[in-house]
Amino acid sequence: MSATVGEGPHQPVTAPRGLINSMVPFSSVDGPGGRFVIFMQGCNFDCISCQNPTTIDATGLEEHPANDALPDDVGKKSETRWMTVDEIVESIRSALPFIRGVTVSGGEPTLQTEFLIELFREIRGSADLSRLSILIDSNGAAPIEVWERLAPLIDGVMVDLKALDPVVHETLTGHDNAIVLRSIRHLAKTGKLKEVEVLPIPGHNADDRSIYAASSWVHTVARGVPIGLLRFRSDHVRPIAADIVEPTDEEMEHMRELMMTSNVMVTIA
Amino acid sequence: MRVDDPGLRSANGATRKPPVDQPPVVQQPLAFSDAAEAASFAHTMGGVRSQLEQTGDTTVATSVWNLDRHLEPTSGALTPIDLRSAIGSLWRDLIDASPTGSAHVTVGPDDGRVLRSMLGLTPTLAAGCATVAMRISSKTPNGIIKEAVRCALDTGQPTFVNDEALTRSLGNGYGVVPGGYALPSDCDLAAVVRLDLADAVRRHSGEPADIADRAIPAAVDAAMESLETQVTLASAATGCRHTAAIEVAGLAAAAQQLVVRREHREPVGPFGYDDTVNDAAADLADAVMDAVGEHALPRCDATSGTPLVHARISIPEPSGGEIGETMRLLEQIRALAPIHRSFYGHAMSVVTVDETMRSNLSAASDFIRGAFASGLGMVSLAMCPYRPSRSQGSIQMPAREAS
Repeated sequence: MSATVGEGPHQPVTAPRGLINSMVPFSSVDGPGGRFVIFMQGCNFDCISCQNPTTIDATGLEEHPANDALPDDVGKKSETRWMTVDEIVESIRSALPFIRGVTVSGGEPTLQTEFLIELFREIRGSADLSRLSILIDSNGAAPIEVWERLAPLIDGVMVDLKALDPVVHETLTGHDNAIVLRSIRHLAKTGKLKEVEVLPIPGHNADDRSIYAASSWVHTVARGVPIGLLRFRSDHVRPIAADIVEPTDEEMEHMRELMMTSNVMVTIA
Repeated sequence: MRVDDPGLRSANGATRKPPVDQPPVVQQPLAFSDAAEAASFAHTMGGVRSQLEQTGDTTVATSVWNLDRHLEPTSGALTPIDLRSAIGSLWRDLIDASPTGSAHVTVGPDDGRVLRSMLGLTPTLAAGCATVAMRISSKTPNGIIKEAVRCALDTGQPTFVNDEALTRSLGNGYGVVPGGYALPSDCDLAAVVRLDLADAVRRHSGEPADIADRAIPAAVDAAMESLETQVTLASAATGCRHTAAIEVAGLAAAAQQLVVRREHREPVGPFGYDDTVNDAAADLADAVMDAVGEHALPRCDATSGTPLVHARISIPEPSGGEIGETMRLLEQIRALAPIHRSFYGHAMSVVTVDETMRSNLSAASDFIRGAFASGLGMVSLAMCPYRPSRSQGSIQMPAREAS
């Protein structure tokens, strides 16, 4: 039986500081244009293909709900640390000439919703930062209330669709996909869904039937929303996935063309 | 010949003399072929001129300045295919006419059909035959920057030029010649000397603290003396206007030597990887400019009596970065910016980016604008091969068993 997600540390009372895994001042792979990226610590999925496995551990969040009095070394990793909104905003400012937006990724950023709200309010309210677009890169495992609270402050969300089949989804992530599909539907309906990201993993969800099913479903529930076709990389993944052969350029192109037959715009990221 | 005055030539290519006591009549070329012919002629004359004026081992590349701007008004009648064909012919003419077998053009900062067509054709030209400098201003549309980046990632061309920074130090109507020398193209004669900073530091046997105060000024004095001699002799012979440039070489190596001598230790890394080396390079650049400011070249009115000081400085291919995080891109810019600011934008750097820029050209556009806002004058892009990956791997995650 799959674990329940979407609850737990989503709703801390106050969050003056966020548990941050790392920050990248300029990224070209986390949304349109140059972007400042904040990798939040803690994830409610446990994906075999995760490229950022150091961001998964949510122990700090679960054991120490966001609290101003916490020590700074709660994170399990040397760079992981509690940071204030002001500290992050200062870092964003140092990259300001180079970026057109901020992307919050992880980990699963919505585990720290209160902190995100404070951060986004600060960005929106600062004269020099307000031009920046704000995107969230999420696994989609957040309740509708979270999206409703974030919606006024963000430009959009890029949501992972690990698999349309709930059984495959559980194999790949440790959880079923009901909450993910619900999030995608809700975000599409409210105009906040910017991209659905699909990661085909050979032997799991990279066969023609799975690929076409995913793109057809996206076309049905989120018409006009593009799909970002991510390339599986075997480095840094769990041992169980380490021997999976990475798709070739030709195979990626085949999947892209197949998806496009569903009338969806698809880019290979 | 001023190539930004195409109106001085009539449609059939003949030079028209204005009537006495009347202002010259500026006549625009009537057809694209006339404009292209004028540009080709200007380039040919420039090529002959550069052959006659080689000084030492330096060949001054000449350029057709603002080529797209001259051709754009007459391009409207051509279909896209005809325009591409005409520009292809022009490229061949320019290359054939060049004594070095290499044509240099400067384009931008405005968008246009000619510019897009030129960028589209650049990848089809043989490597080394064409160099393109594209001026980028704050008003240059993102769309054309993205097209230029696409071309640059394939071919290394164009080099991107910070229009506001360069025009700030040039007289009205003067431009930048691509190909490395960054000289105004509108002067009748140009003189260039080389200033080897690494050699100057190596030869200095006194205290390290005196390098900026004595060794660098002495080297600059020698360079200026050579320039003054060249300009004086050439002026006496021709009566032409001049511009002069100092080509700075060995700045990164000089900075590394300076750190060794100051601190009696090897730096952690070369320029770009060690803050003390970066600071030393900035100090040396400042010392060069201070020393240059002590001199005047009265016959060089194009640059207000001072030589253009030009340097090429880049950072060895960065390592340890993450895919999509563009290989310490901002760190590269922060190390380079003080040098570019000292040399008033006449510095040129090759910046390494990773392959993800290909699928996010807007990011490359943002980066170029950011680099120019930070003070860089000229930037070329070089591709770094893919390297995995984002994960830092400092946490040993438990292996998940299959369900």
